[in-house]
Amino acid sequence: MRSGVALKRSVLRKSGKLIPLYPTFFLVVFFLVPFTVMLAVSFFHRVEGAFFEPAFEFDNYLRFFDPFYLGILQFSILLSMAAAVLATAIAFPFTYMITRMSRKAQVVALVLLLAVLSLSEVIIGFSWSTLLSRTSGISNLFVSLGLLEKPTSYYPSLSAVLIGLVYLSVPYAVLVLYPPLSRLDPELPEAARMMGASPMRTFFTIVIPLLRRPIMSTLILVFVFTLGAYTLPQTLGKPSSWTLSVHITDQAIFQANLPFAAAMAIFLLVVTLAMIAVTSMLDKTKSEGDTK
Amino acid sequence: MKLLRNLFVTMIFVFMAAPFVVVAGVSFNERKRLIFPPEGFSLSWYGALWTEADWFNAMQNSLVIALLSSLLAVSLALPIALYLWQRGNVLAKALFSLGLAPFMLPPVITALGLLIFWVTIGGSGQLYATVISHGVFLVTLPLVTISLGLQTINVQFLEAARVMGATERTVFRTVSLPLVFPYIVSGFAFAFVLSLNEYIIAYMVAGFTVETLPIKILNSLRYGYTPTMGAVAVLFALTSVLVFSLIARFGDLPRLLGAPARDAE
Amino acid sequence: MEFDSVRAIDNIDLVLPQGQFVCLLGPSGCGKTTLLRMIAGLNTPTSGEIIFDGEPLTDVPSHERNFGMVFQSLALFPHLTIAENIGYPLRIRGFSKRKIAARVDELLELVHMPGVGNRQISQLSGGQRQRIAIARALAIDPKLFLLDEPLSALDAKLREAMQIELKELQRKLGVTTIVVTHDQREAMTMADHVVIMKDGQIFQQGPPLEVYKKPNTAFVADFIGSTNLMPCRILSSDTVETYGTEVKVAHLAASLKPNDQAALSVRPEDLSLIPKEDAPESMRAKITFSVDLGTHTELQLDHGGQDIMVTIPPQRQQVFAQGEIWGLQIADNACAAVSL
Repeated sequence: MRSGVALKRSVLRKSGKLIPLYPTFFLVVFFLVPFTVMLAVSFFHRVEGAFFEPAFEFDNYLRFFDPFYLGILQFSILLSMAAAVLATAIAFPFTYMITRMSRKAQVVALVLLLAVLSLSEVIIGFSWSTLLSRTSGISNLFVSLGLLEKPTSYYPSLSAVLIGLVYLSVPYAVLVLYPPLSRLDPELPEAARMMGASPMRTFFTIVIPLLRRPIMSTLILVFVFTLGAYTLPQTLGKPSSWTLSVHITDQAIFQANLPFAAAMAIFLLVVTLAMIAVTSMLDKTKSEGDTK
Repeated sequence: MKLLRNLFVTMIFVFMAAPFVVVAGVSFNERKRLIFPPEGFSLSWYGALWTEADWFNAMQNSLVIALLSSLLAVSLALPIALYLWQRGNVLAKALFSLGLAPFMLPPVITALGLLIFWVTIGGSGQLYATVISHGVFLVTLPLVTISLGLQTINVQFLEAARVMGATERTVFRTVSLPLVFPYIVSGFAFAFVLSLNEYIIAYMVAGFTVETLPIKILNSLRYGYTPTMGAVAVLFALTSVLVFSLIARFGDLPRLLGAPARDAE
Repeated sequence: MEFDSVRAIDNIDLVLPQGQFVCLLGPSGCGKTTLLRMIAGLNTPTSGEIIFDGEPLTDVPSHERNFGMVFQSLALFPHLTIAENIGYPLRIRGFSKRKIAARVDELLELVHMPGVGNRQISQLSGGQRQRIAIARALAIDPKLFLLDEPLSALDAKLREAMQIELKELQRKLGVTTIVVTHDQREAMTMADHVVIMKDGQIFQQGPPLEVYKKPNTAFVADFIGSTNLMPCRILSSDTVETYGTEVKVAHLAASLKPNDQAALSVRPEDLSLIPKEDAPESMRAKITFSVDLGTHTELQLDHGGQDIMVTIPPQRQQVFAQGEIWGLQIADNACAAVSL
């Protein structure tokens, strides 16, 4: 196998000797540089009326450590964790069922999931607010079923935000879980069935334990994904359910305090990178386990 | 058991579809009210996209940005993917990771970085700034699809072509490129749909002057709901379904998303 | 004698004898794995029924059939130890820890791997994994023991050793066993009863040697061992005519009647070479290839455009040179007339 790879490289190496300068230029200038500038600005001094002036101070970071912002951070993390757990709990059995269907049925399911996943948060927020509204929402259905006296509005509320986030992340979680689940050898659950395990028992004693690492990675990735949600807490929630992402935008655009927004963004970045590092460590231990 | 399974799968799809059923219903209302089930039936709100200047302008902006930025994303992704495939060295891997990074981070961080960047060098509020920002942000998608495509090329194809007398250039043009082309197209389509729907970066970079459809919707939401928003939401959902159906029609969607290659049977 | 009858769908009507070692044999895509999976309950027949021990089995889910199965990929659970793998079906049935441990030790003994219970699956070689998968399938004393191409991942030498071991194990336990394989040598080694399948249909079944000696169709004759198929015409119940010569046959396919056009299956060892002057014109052939394998000599001849294989035993030390013309002689009472 190793010699095969070496052979492949030697054949390919003869072609393409140029370092792709043009994409390197773009990624460095329009991705790395902005992050560096943002890091610098997070230490700058804010000037009322203008944007900022160069300085090196920790005021922006220190400001973050007051009960108000720490409360927001705690709320954002708890909200994202709840969304991650719910979305994964729904997505895992769902993905497992999809991967056991025919290839054709899988394609249909994937097209619909991708369509929902790619939809703008704005559109999802608008659609859910319509569905939860008094005039055209689901409460009208409950009324006509006799479950409710008169239609009511279910938003803005914390549960509406949570529903929206779960809605947003289920397709994402499905797509993260799809590769490992579709690569699961179907003979493993079949073997459990032959040995007397019911479908439920097979799912809990074989399928879930076999995929515990992908499940952990999914939890973390969905957590990061929902941490970045920005419009849903605004369209479906009260100001009390605004997340860190909303406050970053608020500071940047409406308070024109770019240094403070930058400091919060850097903080969010550090949390995210730590999570990604944990995920890739999980992946690494997994692949080591495989090669043994 | 099978019944239980089908019930669960159906329930999830109902959950996925529910908001759009209501929004589609709302968009057919005759009067300017959000009522479901709709009162009367009218397609006039779909017409508003063409007749009302600010909606039409937003649609135009969205389409121009999506088209240009996804072309930019593909043009950035292709050389990186090829370089990684051909060399596989540390530099190639670093470039590849850099290309993946924009998508791993919460977009609000990237958006703020780009806002500060464009404010600093000038260009904030310009269409080209949004195009470049989207192009760089969305490079991940074509990068992943093209890399996947290149991995499916059997190196012996290239060797066979060389042995039969083709030059490197000819091998690329006659063997590698045709084989990887469907993956380039799907990468483009993925990027296109995501650019259409992207809000936060477009908003931060140029939101006040270059209104895209998502920005326009959110701005209008502050002044109350109109069935036009429903119409836009429906059109967006349909566009996504259409684009991904096309990808599925011309490519192997499960394979693109990480399933093992189709069995030979 | 008692019979477990196993009936499966469509054109397949199969009754399998109890306590025997049965091989489902056929080229890939012939439906043998599907048939096995239907017996296991992993595939559902669209029509027809499966009867086991006089009870209809069709609506019994896999996990209530109490069968043991070894899968092609072995399907050993990587997240469990060897002992936990073997003990899995016992744990499902609520056995006590002590009982499970005792039974696992017993099974490890049975497959000649005592004392490895605490190791991980990943620490085992291919042949060892094979044994663990077999032990796991036998843990509950299954009513039926199913194996789907169980030895296909092993190299040739190990595969032959495992075939003998598996056969001995089955004889010792007396469990009715069904193995799917595409390797006719494997089937000949292990089976008491072979079932030859092609295109979802059963072509012939019976004890392996009987199928080898008395094939009914050209496909079966060619699939089991190697053979030369010569066009022939049936003369009587034990005589056929081929290339103008009369040959007494050992077997005539039941469907054949006098004057039918058929094929004569002549095994390479049932052909001998005689000086060309002693053979009629129509039975002369030119040697195109010859190889001495020590144990015997294999020859390939051109007989009027058709390739003919002949095996010569070593005692006839004679040089057969390429390009020579020899006469072909078919042994009487050895060959089978088969339908095309």
